[in-house]
Amino acid sequence: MNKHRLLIIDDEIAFVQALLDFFELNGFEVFTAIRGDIGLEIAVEKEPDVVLLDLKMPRMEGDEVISRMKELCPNTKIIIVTAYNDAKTKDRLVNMGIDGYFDKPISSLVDLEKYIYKLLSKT
Amino acid sequence: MTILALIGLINGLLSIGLGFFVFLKNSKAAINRIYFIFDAAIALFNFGYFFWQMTDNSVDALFWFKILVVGLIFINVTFFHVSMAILDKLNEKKRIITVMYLINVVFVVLNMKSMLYTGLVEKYNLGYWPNPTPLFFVYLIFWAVQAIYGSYLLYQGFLKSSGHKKEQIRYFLTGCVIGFVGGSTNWPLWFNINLPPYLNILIAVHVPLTAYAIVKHQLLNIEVAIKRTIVFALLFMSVFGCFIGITIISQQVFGGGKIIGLAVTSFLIILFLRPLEILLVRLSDRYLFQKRYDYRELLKAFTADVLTIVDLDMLVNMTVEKLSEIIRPQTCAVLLYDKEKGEYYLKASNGIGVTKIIFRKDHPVSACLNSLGDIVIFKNDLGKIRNSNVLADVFKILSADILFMLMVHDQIIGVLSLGKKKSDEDYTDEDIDILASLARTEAIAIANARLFDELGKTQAEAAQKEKMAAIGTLSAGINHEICNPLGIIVAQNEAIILNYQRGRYKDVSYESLFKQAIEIMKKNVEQAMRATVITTRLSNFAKPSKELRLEAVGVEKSLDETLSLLSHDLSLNHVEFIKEIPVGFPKIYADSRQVGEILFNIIRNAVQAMNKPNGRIIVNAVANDQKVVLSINDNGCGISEEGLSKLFNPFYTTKGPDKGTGLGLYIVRQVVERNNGKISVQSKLGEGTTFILEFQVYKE
Repeated sequence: MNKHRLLIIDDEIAFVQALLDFFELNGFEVFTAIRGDIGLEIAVEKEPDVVLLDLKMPRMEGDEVISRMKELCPNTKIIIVTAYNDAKTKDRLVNMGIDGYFDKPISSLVDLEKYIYKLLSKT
Repeated sequence: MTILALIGLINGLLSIGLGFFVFLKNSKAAINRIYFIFDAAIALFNFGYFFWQMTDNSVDALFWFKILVVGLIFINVTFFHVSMAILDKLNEKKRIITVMYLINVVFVVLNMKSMLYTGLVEKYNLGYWPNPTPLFFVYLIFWAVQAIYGSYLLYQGFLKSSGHKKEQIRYFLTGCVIGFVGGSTNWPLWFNINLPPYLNILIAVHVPLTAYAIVKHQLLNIEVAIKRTIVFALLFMSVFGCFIGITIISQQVFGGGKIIGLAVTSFLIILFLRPLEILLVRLSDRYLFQKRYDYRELLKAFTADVLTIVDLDMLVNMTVEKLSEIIRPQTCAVLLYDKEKGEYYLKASNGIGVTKIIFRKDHPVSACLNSLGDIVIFKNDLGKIRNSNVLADVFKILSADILFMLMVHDQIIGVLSLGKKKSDEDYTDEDIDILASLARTEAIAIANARLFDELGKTQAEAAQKEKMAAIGTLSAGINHEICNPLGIIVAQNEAIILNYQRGRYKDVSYESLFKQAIEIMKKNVEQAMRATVITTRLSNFAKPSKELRLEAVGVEKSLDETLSLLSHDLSLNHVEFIKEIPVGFPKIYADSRQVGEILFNIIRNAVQAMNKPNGRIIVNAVANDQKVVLSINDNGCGISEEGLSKLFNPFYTTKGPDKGTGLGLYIVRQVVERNNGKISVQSKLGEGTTFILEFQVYKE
């Protein structure tokens, strides 16, 4: 069975590193990017099943990454992981068609992991 | 009495009169004493002249002639002396003045020993006149040199000076030159030229001219306006002198006995005295008093200056000062009503001799003043008013002639009192109208100043509120800044815990695992510190600033700390931030927390003013030995000209009601000034704004 492909896009390197450590050891093929534009390139090339995406990043912000990804790789599920816990933003992003929204700090990696599996099982 | 004797008498009386007046007005000032000696010398010359002309034998004539020559000799040297005093050149010309006095003393001795002339002989029926010796020519040259050199220096001074000084010199010089011309008409007779020296009367001209310069241009430190009566007497005397002169001439021309002369004089006096008096009063009013008491100027001074002053002390002091200067009352005072304590207290005064007056709440004066409805109360009208005995006390204590109630919305907030005018004139109806309207303006100005005062008291509070409001707008950003490191810490730890629980490390050596754990812990500490720094800065910022603590403050460090609070705002608004601070930039001498507040307010304003996609803020710093100039430039929406003029006013804001109270820049400016700095702003609508901050360089 092919591993699930996970792309993490976040400008906080230490955060990316922590998620990489966890998901790699728990059966995912993980790609990372610390800039929105590069993240999008990787997404187009690798067609990951799920993207964990931060909102505030240099070069290309979360909003743009979402809309471009919806267009370029429509099968990829998008989960926002951000320190931006603002209800209005969340509503706006849900309307853009995201598949999940997690606040930083993520209260439980297990919950995130379960959520990802749930998304993957739907397809 | 001959015409020449009469001229001598008039000259002498007027000169000594003016001399004494100047001396008595300010006997402590050197210039007044020198001026007195100058006029005394003129008087000596003229009284000698009078007695010399009055004698009927050559022996007495010689005695008086020697006296008049002593006066004559001293006129020129004292003229030079007083001229140097007027020009403030006493020290510079000290030596030459001393030498002049010494030479003149020599001439006095020569005069006493009759070496300047030989005997006196009757000439042309004009009295006993001398025949000069060769030594006299030496004196004549010296006489002329002193007069011309002194006049020349005065003229030079006249060209260089301005304002009152220029006018003082103008009138003094004119009077003296005319006097010298008049005096020099005596010389021809020495040389047997038949030219009667009637123009000697011109010496008297310096008296009214000097008097005019004193009254109008504060010549000779006589700060006080001469009372009208004195000016009137001086003018009247000089004209009256001419008057008598005319009658004597008529006596000589038409012949006839003394009775006819007296009759003509009396007739002329009866005919012209009254019109002349009226003319003189009008002239003195017009030229001596009118300009000083220009009502419109007074009003303008008030509207221009007083209404713009928001500092209560300055306002009231300036009011008393201005009124004292313009109206010249003997006293002027402002009582203010303290609403909380219910008492009246003396806020500022001039000429009343006491500096502290308080009418307490239970004092009858307070109750009486509070019950007054009239704006203006005259001392002379006291009889018509209830409680007049209480009010009489107020008039007495303030040495007042007139009281103006300072009213705002029918509430009395103070009293303005004025004493009698120094000129002895009464207050005219026009005066009262103008002063009453001034009192209304003053009342409003005082009310305004008090509001500002209140604002000052609550300013610390207001600043704090403003800061709290700012923190409210920051909270989303702060949350983000803190949640990011927390997110890292939580994720790292959970990852390692879960991996361990799930047995993911079973192929990994303990040593390697331990190393990995250490790395994670290091990162944990790092991220925890990152969050701590932000909370510390935030709480520092939120604390009310207490006393000013000046110290060396690094501009870049301060800027970075400020940015850490604002970085979220910056990125949210897509604002690029550029620092142009040279390496090794000098530190400034200021309160570090307050510098942070200043930078925070300006940069946050800049961020909020950003209305375009490519927003950027450039902070540039330059320094010299003395000061550091920081310019904070944004390419935001800019500020209109009207906005610029109000930018630092309290409560001025362009932001919506939820974004700020408007105290921001008003407080920023005060904080900057408290740190011995300056703030200015340049802006162009649509192009951006630059705030320029100036601070002192810290010197070890």
